[in-house]
Amino acid sequence: MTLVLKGIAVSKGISIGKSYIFKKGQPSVEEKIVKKNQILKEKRRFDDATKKTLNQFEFIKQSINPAIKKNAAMFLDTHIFLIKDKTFINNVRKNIRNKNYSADWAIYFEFLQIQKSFENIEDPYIKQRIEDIKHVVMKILENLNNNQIKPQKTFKNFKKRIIICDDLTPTDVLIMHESKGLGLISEFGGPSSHSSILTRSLEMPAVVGVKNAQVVIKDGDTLILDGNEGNLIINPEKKALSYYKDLQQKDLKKKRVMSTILKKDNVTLDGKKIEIMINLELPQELKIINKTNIDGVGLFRTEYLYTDRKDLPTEDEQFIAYKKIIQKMKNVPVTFRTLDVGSDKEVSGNIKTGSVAKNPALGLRGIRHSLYEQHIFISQIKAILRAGYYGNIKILLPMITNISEVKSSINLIEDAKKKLTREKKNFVKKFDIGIMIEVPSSAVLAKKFTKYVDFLSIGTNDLVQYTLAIDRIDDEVNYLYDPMNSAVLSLIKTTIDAGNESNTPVAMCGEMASDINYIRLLMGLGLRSFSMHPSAVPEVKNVITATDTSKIKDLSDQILDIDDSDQKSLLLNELNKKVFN
Amino acid sequence: MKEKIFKITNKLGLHARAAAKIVALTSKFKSKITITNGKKMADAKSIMKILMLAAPKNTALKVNANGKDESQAMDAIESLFINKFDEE
Repeated sequence: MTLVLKGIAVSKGISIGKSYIFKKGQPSVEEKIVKKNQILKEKRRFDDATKKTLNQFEFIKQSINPAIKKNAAMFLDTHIFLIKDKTFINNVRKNIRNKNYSADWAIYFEFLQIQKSFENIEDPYIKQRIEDIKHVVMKILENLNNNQIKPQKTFKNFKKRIIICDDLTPTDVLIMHESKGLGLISEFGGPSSHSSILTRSLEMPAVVGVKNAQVVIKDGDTLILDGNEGNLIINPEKKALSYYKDLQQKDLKKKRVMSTILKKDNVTLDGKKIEIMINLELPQELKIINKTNIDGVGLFRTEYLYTDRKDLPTEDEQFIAYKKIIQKMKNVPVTFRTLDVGSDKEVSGNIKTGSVAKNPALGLRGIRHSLYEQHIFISQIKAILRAGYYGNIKILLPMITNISEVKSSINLIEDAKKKLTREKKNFVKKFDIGIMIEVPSSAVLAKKFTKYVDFLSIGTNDLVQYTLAIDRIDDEVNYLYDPMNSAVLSLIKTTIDAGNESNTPVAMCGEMASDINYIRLLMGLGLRSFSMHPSAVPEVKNVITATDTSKIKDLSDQILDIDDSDQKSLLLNELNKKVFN
Repeated sequence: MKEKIFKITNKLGLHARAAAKIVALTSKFKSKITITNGKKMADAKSIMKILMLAAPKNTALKVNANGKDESQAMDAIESLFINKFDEE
């Protein structure tokens, strides 16, 4: 029977294949048969690991406080009996001796058998005891591999499967990708989790937030994962299969064409150089993206270092992370946006973003937070400047609304430099400081800002939000979100003009810069630098390299002047369809 | 060979700690001891097998002991069951 489940689409694309249910916390132990002459060695490995595990538990038992000894000891006794369990030990040994399993797989295989029996147990309390068994098994496996600390990079069971998990770490996602998994479904998670971000960079179709997916989908079910719409079709009928296979083929063909475009220079038909940069959220993304002809990182979001933890990252920790990124990008500049917490961005307990604010979008966020919690800001700046010693960096300040915020920030950056000098640490002496233009006030005053900063970067998501006073994640008003609104376009134009008149580079790093519908219009308005999600590069570049900047200005100016939105769309269509000879 | 039927009277049934108590006790004896719950039979010296019996409160279990010290073993097991595994 065909079943359809719905989730949140986080990474585009279609995958079709068999499912693999991946239970979190299970180690990636894979089936491994050893040669006959290895059997003795595997048996010894198992015995040694068991003995070691037993000693560890005995040691804990002896060293616990006598006051709580009775209960705790009993609890530990359970574990000790589990390790010493003759049935378990004999079965594992048999697996090694008779089936030539490696010690790891022999243990894990036996665990899977036990787990199966426990699945049939009705009593919820006893059923849960599988967790105790798992704990012990994990400890033995850990001890088995103590001497070979080689983290696994691939996992055979993932190959050509659609993986269903409860929740994911970014490392899991990378392993799934390396193992040639087809796609990802998870029960939890949202579009902005680190793992979801990675699936997008990897262009691995993914749907998250599918409640009970691990219960409804059985191991080995045929699945269609529609990462465009967030649909999962379990055991689809022929008709659906052929429809999606068709869609998949079209995607593949398009991708192939696009990948050849990356080799071209970032130059328009009339020979104008356009900067194409990328937005990054996680250092892991650097491993996988195609850096061909990329002019730099236009926006490196640093929030990932602060989320999912209770404490704050130290200066050294940040320095090491930033340095790696800079070195991976070779000589092209990396623009670090300083910590931008608040509003729609997830904040963990370690950061305080104003408990008073009823409307976090208008509260203590971005640079306001940095000027309030100066030690966090200074520590980050120091780390960026130290990393800058090894390459090319820029600093980008978020949520600037007035000149005094810029002045204060620059003063703090000077303080950071003085501190570094005192501490005798190497750091970059010359670097650019820029601001985000994402609030109407800073767009209106863009010209004044150019006196204080080296570059401007337009963040369209927030600019649209603040100009039109609508919350993008509010379903009741998000239809009003419109980058083509005349007020928004006019603010963008003001900013671009301010930059061009004062020779201050202007880039755009918001979503508008990765939407092929707007690229020509923005070029027509004078924009020469685009920063976007890595996956958008081929399509955007395709438009840029097929445009003649001398022939789009008039039409773009007209679009800016028109009030009627239907007419505006018509003109935009005309602009986009235009073929240059 | 000794055989006896016991009823589980403690609240949580034959859970991990109770199973551990059984194993701690039976391991002291040389006899082969088994516990049966309906169709499922477990080696009374294997905690995993005992857990897999999945015996909640009020389950009747059959215990068999076979060996030189079977009488002592059965007596010890009986007192463990009667004392509700020293729990309540």
